[in-house]
Amino acid sequence: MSENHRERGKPVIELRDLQRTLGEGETAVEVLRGLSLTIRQGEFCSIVGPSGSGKSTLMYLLGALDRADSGEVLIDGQNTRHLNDRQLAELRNRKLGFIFQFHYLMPEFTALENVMMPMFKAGVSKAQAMERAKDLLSGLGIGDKTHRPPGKLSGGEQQRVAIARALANEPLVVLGDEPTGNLDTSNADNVFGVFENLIHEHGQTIVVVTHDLDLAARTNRIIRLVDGQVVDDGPTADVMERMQREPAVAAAR
Amino acid sequence: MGVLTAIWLIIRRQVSHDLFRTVVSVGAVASGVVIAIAVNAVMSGFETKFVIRTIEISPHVVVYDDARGGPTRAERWSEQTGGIVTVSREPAPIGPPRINKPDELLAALHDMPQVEAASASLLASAIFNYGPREARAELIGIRPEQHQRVVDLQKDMVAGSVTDLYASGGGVILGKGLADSIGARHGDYVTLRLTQGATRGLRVVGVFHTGVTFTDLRYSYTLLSVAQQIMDRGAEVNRVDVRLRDFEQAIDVAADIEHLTGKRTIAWQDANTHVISLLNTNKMLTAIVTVGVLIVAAFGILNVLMMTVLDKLDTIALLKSIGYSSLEVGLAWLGVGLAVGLLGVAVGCSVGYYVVELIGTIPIPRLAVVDTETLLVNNLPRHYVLAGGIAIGISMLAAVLPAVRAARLDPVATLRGRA
Repeated sequence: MSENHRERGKPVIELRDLQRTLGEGETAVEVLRGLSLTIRQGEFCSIVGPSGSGKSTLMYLLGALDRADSGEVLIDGQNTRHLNDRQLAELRNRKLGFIFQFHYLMPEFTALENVMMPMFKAGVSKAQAMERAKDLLSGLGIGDKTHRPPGKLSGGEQQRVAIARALANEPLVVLGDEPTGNLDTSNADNVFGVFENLIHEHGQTIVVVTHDLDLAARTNRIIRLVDGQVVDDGPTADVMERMQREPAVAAAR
Repeated sequence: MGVLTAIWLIIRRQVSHDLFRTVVSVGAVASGVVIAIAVNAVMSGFETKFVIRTIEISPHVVVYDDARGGPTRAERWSEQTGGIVTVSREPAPIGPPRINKPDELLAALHDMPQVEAASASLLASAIFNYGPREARAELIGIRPEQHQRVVDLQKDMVAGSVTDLYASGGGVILGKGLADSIGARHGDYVTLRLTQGATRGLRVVGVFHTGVTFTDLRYSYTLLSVAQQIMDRGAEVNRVDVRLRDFEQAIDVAADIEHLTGKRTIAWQDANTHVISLLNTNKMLTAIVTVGVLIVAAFGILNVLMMTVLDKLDTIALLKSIGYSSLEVGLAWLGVGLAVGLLGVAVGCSVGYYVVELIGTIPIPRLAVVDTETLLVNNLPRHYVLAGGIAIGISMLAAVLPAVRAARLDPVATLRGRA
C-alpha cells in the first residue's frame, strides 16, 4: 500500500532556519525564530515547552499545513516551499498522519469511514480500504465498533480511531498535537502504549507535541522549545536530567 | 476514482447528517420548482387552448378584396401641410376593388404547395333580430363543402348540420353565444338586417359552439349564393379563406399570396395580434416569475450551504489535513449544492404534477377570449425540464460561494481556534 521507503536513521523531516510570525502590525508575534532540527526515521520524539513557545506552530509546519515566512521544510527530501496546494495535499496524504487533541474525527462519518477517507484519496479501492480500516481498528481494540459514529464512542476510542486514520496510508511520520491532552490518565496511557507498540513493532516515526512531561518521558527524544527557539534537544534521559536542574521545571512536575 | 468515492461519500453524509437543514434547502428548491411548473402550466394552458382553437376554427390565411395601400399618416401630413413636408414612397399596387373571379383565385391558390384548401366567402356586418332582442354579428356566405375543407365547422355544431344550409334555401347557422343573446333556437326564424339596409328572414338551421367567445358571439353562416343575393353582389366574393399544411408558415405564405395577387392578405397571427401580444407578454412574465422564484430558492440554498460550511470548519480542516486539496474540498461542497438541487427538483416535479392537476379543477369566471369553466392548464414535460434545469443550474451557482469558502479555508486557523 505505502510507497514510503523506511530506512532507520534516515532524515525524514528537516527544518532549516525557520521563521514564522503570526498576526500583523502591532499585534505581530514572532513565534519561531530561526529554528532548525532534523527528525530521523524510527524516532519517537516529543516537543515540549511552555504555552506560546511555538509548539503547535512548529507542528503545523512539520505537517505541511502552514508555510514558514522564511527557512525551509524538507519532508522526505521534498522542499515544501516549492510545492503547490495540490502537491502539498498529496504530500500530507502519502507521507504524514495527523492526530489532533480536539479534532478527533469527522462526526458525519462512521469510525470505519473516517479511517477509509485518507485511503480513498490515495487511490485505494473501496474494498481494500475497508479491509485495511477494519484491520487497523481491530488491531487497536475497537474492531466491534467500526460502524458507530464518533458521537457513540468514548474519548479514548475516538482517539484510537484517529490513530488508525493517521496510520491508514502507512505514513513516514505520525504527528500528534497534544494527542492525549483531552483524555483522562488511563486513556492517555493507553494511547501512548499504542505509540510505543508502533515504534517497537513497526519502526514508525512519531512526533508528538505534549505538555505532559511524564508522557514525554516515555519518548526517545525530547525537543524543548522556549520563545520559538530550540533550547534543548537530545535523548530523553539527558534532557529530562537537565530539566530537573531547573527549579521552575522541577516545581511544575 | 478513489477521490470521487470520497467526494460522493462526503456529499451523502453532508446531506443526510443534518436532516432538518437538508429538508429546509430541498424544500426551498422544491417550492420554486412547483411554482415555476404551475405558472408555466397555467400560462401555457391558456395559450395552447387559444392557439389550437384559433387554428381549428379560423382560416390560417384570409385574402381580402381590397389592395393594401392608401395614404399613410405621414402622407396625410404632407397633404395637410401643402407639401412643406414631402414624403415619397413606392406607389401602392392598384388592384381591383372586388374579387370578381373567385374561382380563378382559388385555382391559383390551390397550385401553391403550402396551401391545403381554399374557400371563397362573402362577409358583411349584420344585425339579427329575434322578437324584441337584437345583436350585431358578421354574416359569412359560404359554400359548405368548400368551407368545411378550410374550417371544420361541422365538428363544433351543437344543433343541426352545415349542409342543412342547402335544405332550407334561406337558412342561417348562428354561433351559440349569438343565438343565446337574442334567445333564438334551432328552427326559429330570425330577421337579418344588413348595415346597408337590406332585410331578410332566415331560419336557424344550426348552432355551433367553438369555445372561443368572440367567434361564438359574433359569427353566423349562410349559403354564399344567399349572401350574394342579400348583398346584391352578383357572383362576387370579398374574401378567400385559406388552410395551410403548416399553420406556422402563415405569415410567410400570406406575404407570398399578397405579392402574387396584390390583395391584402392576413395571417391568423396578424388577425389576432392583440391576443398574441398578450401571450408574448405572458411568456415574458412567466419567464421572469420562473427565474425569480428559483433565484429566491437559490438564496435559501446559499444560506443553508454557507451555514453548513461554517458549521463544518472542523471537518473541512480535517479533510485538508489528511490530504484533500482545496479543489477537491470545493468540489465536494459544490456536489452538496448539486445534490440539494437534484433532490429539490425531484420533489418539486413530483409535487408539481399533482398541483397542476389540482389547479386544472379550480372553477373560474367565464373568460372573454376562451370559453372554459375551470382554469386551463397544460401539464407538459418541457415545463418540468425547464424548471428542473434552471433549478439545478441556480442551485449549482448558489453552491459556488460556499464551495469557494470551503476551498479557501485555512485549516491552521481552524485548528488553532480549537487548540
